[in-house]
Amino acid sequence: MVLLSLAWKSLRNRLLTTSLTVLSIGLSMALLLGVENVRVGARESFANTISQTDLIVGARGGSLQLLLYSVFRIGQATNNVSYESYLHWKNHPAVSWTIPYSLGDSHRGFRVVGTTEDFYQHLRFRRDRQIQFAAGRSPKDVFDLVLGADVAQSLGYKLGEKVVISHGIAAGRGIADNDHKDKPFTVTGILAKTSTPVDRSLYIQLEGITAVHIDWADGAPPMPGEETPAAKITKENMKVEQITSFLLRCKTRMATLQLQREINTYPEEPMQAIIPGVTLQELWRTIGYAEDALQVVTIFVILVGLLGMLVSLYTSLNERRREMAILRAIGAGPGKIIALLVLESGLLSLAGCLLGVVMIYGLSVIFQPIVEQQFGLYVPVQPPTATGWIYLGSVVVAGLLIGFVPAWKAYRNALADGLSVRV
Amino acid sequence: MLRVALLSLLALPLCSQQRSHKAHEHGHAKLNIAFETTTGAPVGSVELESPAESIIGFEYAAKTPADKAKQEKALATLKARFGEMVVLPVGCKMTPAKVEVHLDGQHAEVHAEFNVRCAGPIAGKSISFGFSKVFPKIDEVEVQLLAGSQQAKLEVQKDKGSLQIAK
Repeated sequence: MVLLSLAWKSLRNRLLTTSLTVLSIGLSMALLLGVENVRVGARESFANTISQTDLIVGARGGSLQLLLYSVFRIGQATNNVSYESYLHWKNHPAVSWTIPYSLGDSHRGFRVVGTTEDFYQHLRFRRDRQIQFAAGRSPKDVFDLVLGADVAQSLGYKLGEKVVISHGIAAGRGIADNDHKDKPFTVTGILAKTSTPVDRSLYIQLEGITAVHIDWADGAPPMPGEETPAAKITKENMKVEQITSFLLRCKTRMATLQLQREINTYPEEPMQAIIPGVTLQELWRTIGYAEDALQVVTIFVILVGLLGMLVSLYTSLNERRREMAILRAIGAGPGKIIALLVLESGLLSLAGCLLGVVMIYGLSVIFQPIVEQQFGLYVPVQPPTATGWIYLGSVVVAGLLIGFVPAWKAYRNALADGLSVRV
Repeated sequence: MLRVALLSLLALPLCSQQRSHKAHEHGHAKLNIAFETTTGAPVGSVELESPAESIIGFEYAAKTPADKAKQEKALATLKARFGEMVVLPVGCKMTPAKVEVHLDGQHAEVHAEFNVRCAGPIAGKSISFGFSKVFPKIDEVEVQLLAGSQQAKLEVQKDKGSLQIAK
């Protein structure tokens, strides 16, 4: 106890060096825990985005690409799927439900998704949560449109507002020439927040996608005056010919694997079916290398912090020659001296760890909404994970061990060293 | 001329069908495991798709008595020792549903399906593998597992690794 209070007082005596050391360890600890938090958060966010979907089906290509554009709205499809093939699988006896997606248009940087009522009925996230409406209802007519929560918030649109969607998915404002100006949509609903990429899209009917492209030929908009007037377009006379991909739920899990094989070898059209959980696992394995590299960097940052502590303790010994000598003169044995210095370094690293935890909590609370808004990544504010505790424990242990270096020096110094005047 | 054009049109669908082939790599098999639930007394199925070369030793239609015998023997071994290749949690029993050889152009694949019945819950238990013990030519197996809401994948090389069924 005496040693502890002695160590504490000695640290307090050198307040500036102590706090700088604690700060450097704290910062590096916050970095390590932050990287871990983001890693866990990203995995949970991604896994929570899609639930109860057995297969994602699209044109044959990369499985990861199919997952990314269908679920996370990242990247784009190289090929579409014919509506006929979609109907074939939708009516397959093993299939419970499907959600078709037609992608490729946007509105002020947000993607426009053509889909059907099935999307609002069947899509599940976070295990069993369903899409809810904050206001209004799902689109019923060709030119009805529903806003994701983030879209409604950042663009400030209200129910009944007219929205013009653009051809293509260029970021920012759509290319003016490619606006589907002649066929504006009316906002009929706003979705409740889901904290998934669902929040960052606009939703219309599949027929709506067909309607805006009806007079387009060779990738160019119709000449002025040649457009089919919006009034003439009804849901019934719009024929959907293709979609981008679809989500599918089977009646049984055993049928899933069978259906996956059937779709992958469908002779009518080259298609592929992926199991989202499996493809996500492939994604993590790919990203794993980058994560490992980041982890190595943060571990080095921690090492630098600990080395800084070693340097400060070691150099302080010169100033503390007299202190050590007095301690020994009044009866403190070499063991006590060693214990004192080890305790000091242990306390420093413990304080650094605590500061790191506090910092990461504070930063998480401040930045959580911003990260969620910007990247759709929900990083939970939670106590350190098992790995986090292991890091914290190892840094404290490393701190104690490092304390032995200055302790050894102090022990080796002769008793008379601090009492005599150095020349 | 018209006749030639018509003939070539007729030949078109045939050609396009022939041009599509599944990937085929000797020593590399695929295993799918599905369980409806992981609690109660789960039922499920396990299916193996492997190049015939890795199991039987050749990939042509067995015509001579020697080849036929070889094929029969390999498929019988597959049926009898499948429990050693895919080690399910204790209490799960596999019964062969279908074991056959599919010829696809120059290649052949062995396709085997087993039905599974487990006496008790399997949540939290694990599945391990022993393919090369029975068929040494199988080096690598891509395993997909669906169990309740779990979707997982594992690349098993030389029987290493195991799959944990989610709790």
